[in-house]
Amino acid sequence: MNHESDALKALNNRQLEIAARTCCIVPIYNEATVIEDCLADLRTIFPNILVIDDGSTDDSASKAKKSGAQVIRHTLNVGQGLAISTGFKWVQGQNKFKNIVTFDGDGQHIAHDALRLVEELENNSLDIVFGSRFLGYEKSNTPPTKRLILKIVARITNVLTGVKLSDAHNGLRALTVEASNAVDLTQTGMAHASQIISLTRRTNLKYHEIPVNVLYTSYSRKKGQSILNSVNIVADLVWSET
Amino acid sequence: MILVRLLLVLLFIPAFIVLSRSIGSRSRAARTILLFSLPSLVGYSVIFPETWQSMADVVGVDRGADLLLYVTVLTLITYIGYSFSKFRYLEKRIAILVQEIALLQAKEKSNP
Repeated sequence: MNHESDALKALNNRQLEIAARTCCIVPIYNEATVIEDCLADLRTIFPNILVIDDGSTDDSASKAKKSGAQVIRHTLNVGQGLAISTGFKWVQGQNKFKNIVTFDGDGQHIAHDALRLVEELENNSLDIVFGSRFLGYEKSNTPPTKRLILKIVARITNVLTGVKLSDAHNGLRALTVEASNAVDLTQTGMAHASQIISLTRRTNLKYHEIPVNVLYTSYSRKKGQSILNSVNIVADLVWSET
Repeated sequence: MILVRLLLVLLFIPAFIVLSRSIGSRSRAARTILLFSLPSLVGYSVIFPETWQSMADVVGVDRGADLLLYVTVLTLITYIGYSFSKFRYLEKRIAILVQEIALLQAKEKSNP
């Protein structure tokens, strides 16, 4: 609690205002081990946190509630894309937020990076800001094989969509609520990240990409996507887009 | 003859896309005809093996057995593709339901 109030004191008035009009969407699936720490970090800056529990079978949802977040539960596990889409729809219905942050629930992201994304969004009147682990942040310790695959995916995405990004599958991004209306996600799984980029191009959203940290802990390495899942992502995209 | 063979291969791609990806009633009927005619064709070919050879000669395939294999593979792959499409279609419908229920429950909680 002291840590939270100390962090809030460190923010200037403008940052506090930006944080107050932002809703952080945290999609989770069986993250009971780390969700409390993840939300505690996020709450040091953002008062509005929406956790979408995508059919967890552990006590992730109750832990998220205890941490002070609003929790929406999917009765079945469908995928992160649907969880984010549910979050978008809920925020759009609230009519009280200006910005949305998507923030993975496995402890890979840092709340301060999320604030930097929203500041970038508001300061430059953008529609969407993507976080990148490949733009020189020293804390990102991406495993070499994953780094290679992600860079190849980013290159392919650049060619296919025309959106120039160095990191195509980073769960940390900020967008305006207005832009979330344009980003109508139909990809329910991990291919949603590529679909967001594709819709950014199709709907002519103004975008930037800024460096963020992605922390690879033993937990996140174990829990995160396998490299082979990139095959499923490509299959999902091809099958639905052709 | 090579032209006819090439045409057979090229025909396979649009046939696969149309038959496997579409879930409309026409393509469903086409798939049913294809699937149910396959055992009849196999039975027919056991009794009259020379028929396949005659058809193979017409389309430029060396052996009747090769033509039968081609039709069999086309049917099976089409069905695998169709099952995949149908599975994805059902998955999307389930996703819509899950989302609707989640949003309704959230609304009920905020306005009890």
